[in-house]
Amino acid sequence: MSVSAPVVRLKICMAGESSVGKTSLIRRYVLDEYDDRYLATLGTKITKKALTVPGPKAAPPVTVHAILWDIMGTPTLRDLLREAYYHGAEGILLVADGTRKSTLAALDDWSRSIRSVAGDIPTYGLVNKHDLEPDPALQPEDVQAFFEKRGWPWSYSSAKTGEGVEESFEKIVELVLKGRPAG
Amino acid sequence: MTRSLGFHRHRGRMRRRDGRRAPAEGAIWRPRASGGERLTAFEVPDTAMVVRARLLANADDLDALFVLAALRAQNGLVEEGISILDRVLDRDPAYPGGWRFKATLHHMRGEDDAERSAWARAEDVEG
Repeated sequence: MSVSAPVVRLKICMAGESSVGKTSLIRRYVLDEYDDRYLATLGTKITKKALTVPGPKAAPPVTVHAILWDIMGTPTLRDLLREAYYHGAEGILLVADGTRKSTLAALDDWSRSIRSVAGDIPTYGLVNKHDLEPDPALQPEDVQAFFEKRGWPWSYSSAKTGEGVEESFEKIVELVLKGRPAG
Repeated sequence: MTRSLGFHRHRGRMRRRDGRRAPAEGAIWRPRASGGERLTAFEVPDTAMVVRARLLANADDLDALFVLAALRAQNGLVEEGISILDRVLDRDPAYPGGWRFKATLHHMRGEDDAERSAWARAEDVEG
């Protein structure tokens, strides 16, 4: 009789300013779809994605049910809702919009709010909309320096073309698993 | 009413990396109740306006009601916020973050028992 591998359940929060593409990234990752139309997310949407990733420290592959919390990007309600949204989060995907410099700097406030509830959990940064001409005020070396300073791995992404999407979700899951105690 | 983020206005519409215009990318789609027209890029709809439009279209829109509860509480109307949130949780007891938010609102009112009770429900629902 074979014993099925245990399933690990992880809560991952997407965060970032309005209109940076959080919902589109999830949609691309889970459904492999993209829609040009923008509908602001109200509240939060939860999506489950099952994936298999390499086990930490050369362990066998692990089946993960990633519970993706797509949280509305309204900074004014962020602190009021932080317990509701971030409690139990094990990883953060912070999303900026490469065509708007301000959305990168805003990631600090999102990170702070999440960490105030969930602690110092693994974080991965995404600079989305890489298919578009970037904000000229946002130089690649500035982006690199921003993430390096905070110790957050990061990459560019495009929900429209799919660039960097799957890899980033897998990466945050791997980071979370790596930080979990064995067993 | 929209809140402009003010970037790139001098450059006109966004362009793709190949230099072509990207009319749809980044454009904001207004809810049908407010006309359904596309706005220029880099305009973010005001949350209260979106909530209003969504509730006009569907008075039982749980997401809109949830955010309305938050907006009310933020404006100091915590009791009203709780009442609206109760409507959400009546209709969907597993609404994401609903019970923890209720606990937060009771905490704001110093209602310890209600806070603990809401927190316990959250643990039941979300684990």
